Amino acid sequence: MYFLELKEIRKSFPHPAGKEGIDILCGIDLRLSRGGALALVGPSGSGKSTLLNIAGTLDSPSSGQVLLEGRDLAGLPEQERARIRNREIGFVFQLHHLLPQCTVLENVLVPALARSAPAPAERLRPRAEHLLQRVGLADRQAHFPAQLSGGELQRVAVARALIHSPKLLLADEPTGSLDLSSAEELARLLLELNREEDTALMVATHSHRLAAAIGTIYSLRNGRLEQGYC
Amino acid sequence: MNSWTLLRRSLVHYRRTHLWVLLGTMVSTAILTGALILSDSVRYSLERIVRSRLGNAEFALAMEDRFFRAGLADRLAGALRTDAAPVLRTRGVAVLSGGRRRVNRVEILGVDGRFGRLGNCPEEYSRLAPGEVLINRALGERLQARAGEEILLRMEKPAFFPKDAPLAPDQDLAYVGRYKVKGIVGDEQWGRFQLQANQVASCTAFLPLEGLGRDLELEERANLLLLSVRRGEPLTGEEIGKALRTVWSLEDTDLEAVPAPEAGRLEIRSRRIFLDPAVSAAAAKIDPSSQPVLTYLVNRIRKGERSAPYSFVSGAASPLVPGELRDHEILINEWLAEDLGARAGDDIRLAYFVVGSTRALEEAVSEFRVKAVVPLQGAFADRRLMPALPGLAEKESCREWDPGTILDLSLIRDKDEDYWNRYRGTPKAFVSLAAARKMWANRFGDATAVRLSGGPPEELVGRMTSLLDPAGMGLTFQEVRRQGLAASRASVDFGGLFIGLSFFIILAGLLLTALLFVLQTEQRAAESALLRALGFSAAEVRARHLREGLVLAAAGGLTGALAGVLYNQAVLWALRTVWQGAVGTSALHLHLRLPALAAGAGLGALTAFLAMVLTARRQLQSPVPGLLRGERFLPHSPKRSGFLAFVTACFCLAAAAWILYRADWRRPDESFLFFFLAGAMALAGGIAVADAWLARLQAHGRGSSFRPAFLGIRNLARRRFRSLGLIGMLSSGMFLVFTVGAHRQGERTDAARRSSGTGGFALVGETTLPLLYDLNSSKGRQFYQLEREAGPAVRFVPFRVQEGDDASCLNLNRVSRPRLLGVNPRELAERKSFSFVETLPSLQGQDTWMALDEIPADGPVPALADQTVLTWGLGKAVGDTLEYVAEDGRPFRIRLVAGLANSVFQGSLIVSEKALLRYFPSHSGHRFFLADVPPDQVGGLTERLSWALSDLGLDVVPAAARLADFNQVQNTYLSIFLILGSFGLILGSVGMGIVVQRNVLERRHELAVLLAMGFRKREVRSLVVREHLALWGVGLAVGAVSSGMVILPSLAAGNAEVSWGLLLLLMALVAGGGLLWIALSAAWATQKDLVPALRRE
Repeated sequence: MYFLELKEIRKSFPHPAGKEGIDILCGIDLRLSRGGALALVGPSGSGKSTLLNIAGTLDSPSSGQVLLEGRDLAGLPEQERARIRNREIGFVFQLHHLLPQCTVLENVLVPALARSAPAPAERLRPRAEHLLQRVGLADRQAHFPAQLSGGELQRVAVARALIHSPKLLLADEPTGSLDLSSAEELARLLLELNREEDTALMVATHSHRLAAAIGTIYSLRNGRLEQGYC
Repeated sequence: MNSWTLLRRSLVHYRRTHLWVLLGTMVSTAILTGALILSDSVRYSLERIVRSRLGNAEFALAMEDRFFRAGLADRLAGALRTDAAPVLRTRGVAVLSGGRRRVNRVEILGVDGRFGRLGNCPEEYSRLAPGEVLINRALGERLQARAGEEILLRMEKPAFFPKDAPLAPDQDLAYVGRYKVKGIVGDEQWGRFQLQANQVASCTAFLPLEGLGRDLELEERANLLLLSVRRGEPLTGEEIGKALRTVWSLEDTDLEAVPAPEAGRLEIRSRRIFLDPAVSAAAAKIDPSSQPVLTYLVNRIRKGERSAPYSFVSGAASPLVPGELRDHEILINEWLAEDLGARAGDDIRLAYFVVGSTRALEEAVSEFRVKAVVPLQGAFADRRLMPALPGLAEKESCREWDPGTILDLSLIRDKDEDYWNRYRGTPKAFVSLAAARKMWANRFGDATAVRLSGGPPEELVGRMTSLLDPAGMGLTFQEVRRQGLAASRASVDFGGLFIGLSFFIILAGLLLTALLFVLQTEQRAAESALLRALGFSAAEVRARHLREGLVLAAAGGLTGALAGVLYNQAVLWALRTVWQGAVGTSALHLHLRLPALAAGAGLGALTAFLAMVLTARRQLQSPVPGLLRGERFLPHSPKRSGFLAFVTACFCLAAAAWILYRADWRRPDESFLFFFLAGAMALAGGIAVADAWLARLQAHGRGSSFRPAFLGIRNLARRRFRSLGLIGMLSSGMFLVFTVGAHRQGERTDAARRSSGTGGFALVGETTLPLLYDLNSSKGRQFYQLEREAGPAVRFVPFRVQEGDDASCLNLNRVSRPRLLGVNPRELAERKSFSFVETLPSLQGQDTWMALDEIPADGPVPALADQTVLTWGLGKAVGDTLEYVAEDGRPFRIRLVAGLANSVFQGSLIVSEKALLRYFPSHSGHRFFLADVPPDQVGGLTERLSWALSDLGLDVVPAAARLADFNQVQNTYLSIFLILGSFGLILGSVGMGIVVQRNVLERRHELAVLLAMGFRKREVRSLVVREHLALWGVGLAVGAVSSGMVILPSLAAGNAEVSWGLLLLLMALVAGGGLLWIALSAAWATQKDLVPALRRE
């Protein structure tokens, strides 16, 4: 049994003029084993982010199944999907989306404030500190997002995504807004953590270097998925 | 890190936007709290006024035209173990020495130390010497008199003998005295004493009781008795009634018991000349053979060509008049028989006056057959049968007679003089009691004396005293303190009123709160999305936002409540000064109560929080991926909602058109509600049209016409609900402020119409002293020297005035017994004067005025009043009843049968004159009149009336002006609404400014892109301006069209007094404020370097 299995995923959006809907994903099948990693590549608008959001329960497919350890997530109620997102899935976005009002450490602990969080924030503090040390920001814990560089902000976002030791880390263009060296540093970090934390990693990216570093590459074009570059 | 840390951090981080949300909450809370405190303050102030005006007085016995012996107060005080004060009360005109200033309707009170004791200032009033007067502050201010100056008081001279009674004197009706002002008494010296429940202090002059009694020829008499609050065991009406029965005597009232000429018989007479029927009835119970006597002065007794002038004739029962004397038979004495040459069996005629309207006596004639000629001796020579008529009884010669009746003294012959000298008023003829009553009984009584036997006189008097009910003689106490406090507690709800008047500013505050909260939520959309991505449920994210909102609402509530105290102080100051027209008093005091503060804070916080809940609910329904991409609005189906808006618009506009079609355009005032509804529907329809337009833009764009302006217009559709909110706020603000503001009532141009509030009358007059003669009669016009100016085309409609509380909107108290105006309703029915808003269904199809004359024998008296008085002044509706107390102490009910459209009668109830006289028979004269005057004679007649009736304290004004005076209260409220509404508009324009700025801020990157694409800064600025101008223009247009529907009919009819200056100012506020914000935001948006915005993108 695969850790994550997407079966016949279809997604279409209504046409603005009310005509027939636009198909973004046309029957995607994808499998990812525990601790595995894959990169999704494809031109803009090809549906990479949509597929990632569907895998992370932020969006629902028009049809098809999203199986996480054999459980179909598509039909779950919102409360349950929120619980799964909190405990079992981590997200990293192109923009860091850190809370400007909170310090770096607090930002990492924010997921612990959700009702479905497995442990209170105080108990997770050592892990947050450990993660920050791991991403090289141990000395920036008390800083606010406004005082950090773009690469540092994105590393905080990675630490935040890993606070509950998720089984699946979804990253949507994580290096998209970073300079080359920061991007490479972040890519290295994601892969190290993938190995260290035994977290399955699924990255949507335009970066060939990042995709190559991950190894397994899937291309999304015209709503269909193919292994390797098209 | 925990939830509270996050909350605290968010509050601090977003403090700038939070501050605006807090400000919005604070404003609405301050207004709410201020209104609640105002409600408490007004009630507290009114209660204070009740205590100021009543001092320690708890019960009062107030008689209008009857008098009791002042000593009764002391006896009653002793029996009840409390203080009591007798007061002699009349009304008059005060003139500052030299005639420099004159004040009508002055309450003149004869008081002594006993009165002062009830007001906790015995010294003040006990030291008043003859010739000295204390005046209260209100009179002092109006006269501008100071201590030591002299004032002239011309006062009504009350008397036992009612002035409207036949044979009442028409001279000596007023007393004029010159007094030195000893001092001016304020509230602390009980200068505010008055029985009427009114916050406006009456003008009062205090004179020494003894001196005033002497001047008015009412020594040792009073017509007002005040009983003090009893410490320990409170007084009850029942206890007072019992005590009164034990201490009162016949002499305390108008009755006097004198020995009758026949041995062992007692005669009861009245200083009022005519005896109340209850007295004869009591005498009959003691002595079934008691003998009522009715003696009357007849003008002529004629037989053929011979006649005897001015003779008294008595009607009595056996034994004075033989029992077998039939009603058409008469006994004449030998003197008369000889004078007329009459014998038994001859027919003779009696000509005599009967009571008509006011003092207009009408001569009637009755024919009798002489039964016998009786000798002038024994019972037939009893000169005491003649009542002690003032102006007659005390005269030595009958040529000196001076009764109020038109007597031709030249007719008196020497032999008549001789008879007077020898026999005085000894009756010359006798008829049966029934015949006498048929001819001469009137509303004042049906006997001039009653004679009874059956025991020693003292015992008979005692039995009479115990049989008669003092309450039936007018000795009725009212619980004035309780009634006053009840009236003040049920007063006009100023809290509700001010919440209503501040409606727009509260709404604007709440809208601002909601708007800013939404903007803030939108601004933090990505944060919300992130939390969702991190596993927070939508409800949790919403709860997080609302928790912040709750803190803001609570903080806004608390600070708003404190600001509410300041706001209240400002409103109280305004009500005491510039808005005094609404309350008529400057005695308003701040009264802070914790419950009001807490309720204001709680209510303010709660409403603000609810506004946040409602708006946040929608915002946080947005899908996460969109929010993460920075999309801050909820995608929705513009087609469906656009269709809904279109349907709503069609429905509302059709409804507005239908209402306009149904409304009566000739009577814009009566149809105001229709026009307002039509305007409101047009407003809703206009907003719906705007919504449909925006939805259409959102769904389809604007076809092929792709121009720069199109970008801006499309942007309006992108933020559709924000745009709609602005249109709604602008148009509603304009609608409310303009429709209400432009509906001020001025002097009406239709005042000459019979159906208007003036009844078509040109003048309204009110006198302090009664008009005893009919102003329509030649006698009356001659008496008042009006023959020249009051031509045949001038007609007066007089009203009797039975004093009561003022139920107009000038009185804040909820009164229960308003002043009664008694009129002959035919006068108004024939003219078809005034209009009715509502009548009893049972009166449909009949003349409403004439319904006043349908007075059931024992049912309620029909009455009518202005509908506004019924609703607001009395808290009643057509069909309800009110309880009054008649002159003789009997309670009676008044039923409200109709409500008048706004009229000159505001504040009073109108009843039939007949009904008023039935329950207040001693009532004398008219004190209110309406005058029909040809337009070219109005000026001359007003001047003449003012001069001729100045001694009666006449205030005469054009009827239209009086109506406009009443409208001043309404206009003051409208001004308050306008001023508070302008604050709301300012707040609304701040909201608009924030929205415009926010719109621009959010689109900085778009604008930057336009610049990058080669647009010039001016073009970009123009784009921003045009976009918002479209919103502004649509909002103003919708507001203007809908408010126009309401105000144009009134403007066209010339009924609305538009304060153009204020409206233009408001227009400048609304329009200019919006333009200013648009211009500033556009300038700001393009002035800054937009390139960084591109980098952020």
